[in-house]
Amino acid sequence: MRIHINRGLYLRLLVPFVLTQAGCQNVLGFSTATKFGLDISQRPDQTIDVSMGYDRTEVASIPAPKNEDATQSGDGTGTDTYSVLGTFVVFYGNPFLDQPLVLNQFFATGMAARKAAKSPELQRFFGEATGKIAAENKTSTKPGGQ
Amino acid sequence: MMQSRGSIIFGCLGLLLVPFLTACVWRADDAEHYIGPVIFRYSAPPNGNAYVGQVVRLGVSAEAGTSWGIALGASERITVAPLVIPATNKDQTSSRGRWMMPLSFSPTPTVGKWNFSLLYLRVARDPGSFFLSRAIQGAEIVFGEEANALSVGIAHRTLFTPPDNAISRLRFDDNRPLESRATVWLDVPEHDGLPDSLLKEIAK
Repeated sequence: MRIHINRGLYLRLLVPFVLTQAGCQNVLGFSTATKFGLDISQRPDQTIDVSMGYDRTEVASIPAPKNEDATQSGDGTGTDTYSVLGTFVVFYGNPFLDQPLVLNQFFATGMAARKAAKSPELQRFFGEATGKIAAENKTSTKPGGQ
Repeated sequence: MMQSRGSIIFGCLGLLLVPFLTACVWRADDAEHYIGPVIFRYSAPPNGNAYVGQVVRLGVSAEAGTSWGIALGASERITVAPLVIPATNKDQTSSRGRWMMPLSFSPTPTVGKWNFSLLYLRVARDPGSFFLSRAIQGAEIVFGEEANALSVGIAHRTLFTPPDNAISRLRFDDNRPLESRATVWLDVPEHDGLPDSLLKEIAK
């Protein structure tokens, strides 16, 4: 008895399987993607993204523990929640006019984020950054985002 | 007769061109080995503000190791590794001899300028590389720790993975990648003031 495998079906099953099985890491990551054409890809948050034509994405993936794993400290806050403090600025130009992609990122992670949150200098820095973002959101006509 | 001779000539020319349009890379944990023609440039301290590497491959290119894939067209890969504060001896010595062309007449490529490697290029992995940019114009299928994607057309992806328990700063412009600035501050003091270098970076 011979079994005939439909190659087209095999490929359609194989590609999503490979994409879902490879590189599944629970890490903190920030990614951008600009695509023109056909694209099937896995984002850092491990979801599958299928696009045809022009598409642009920015993803921030921050690992979080399961609820049952969280422990409570004396003040009622979770002690094993991952701390992240940062600004993530992306400027996109038109890729066909040789306009650049510019990234400006500042991040504190883990225990460094907790320490940084207590620093007056960094409090002022993040406060000013938040103010700029809020002001630009009100009158935002520029390409790109923050 | 003439037609068959012409096709033979074109076939031979095609076979001669194949090695110049085919590149492979093996990405190991400690180094990357490029076999075949690649164009590349890099910068490292003290000339640069980060460890930056940019490699461009044309034609058919395959990769294996930590990432597996095949690409057709023009593919570009940029990595950025930060300056680590406080610096360790390993970081200070690691910038020398990380880019090598052992099979070339001048094994050490020029810093900050475009270089061409025809046969073999060895690149030691940057210490703590935390930013990756991959671009393809053509078609590509890749899966592994760098990306999982099937693309036809133009695709440009970046991935920034800041280290744990540290403060990280990255400035990247894909028109001027060698001018990238990347710094990581470890051991942030809890009660004392922040490091001067961090305060200067915040003030910019």
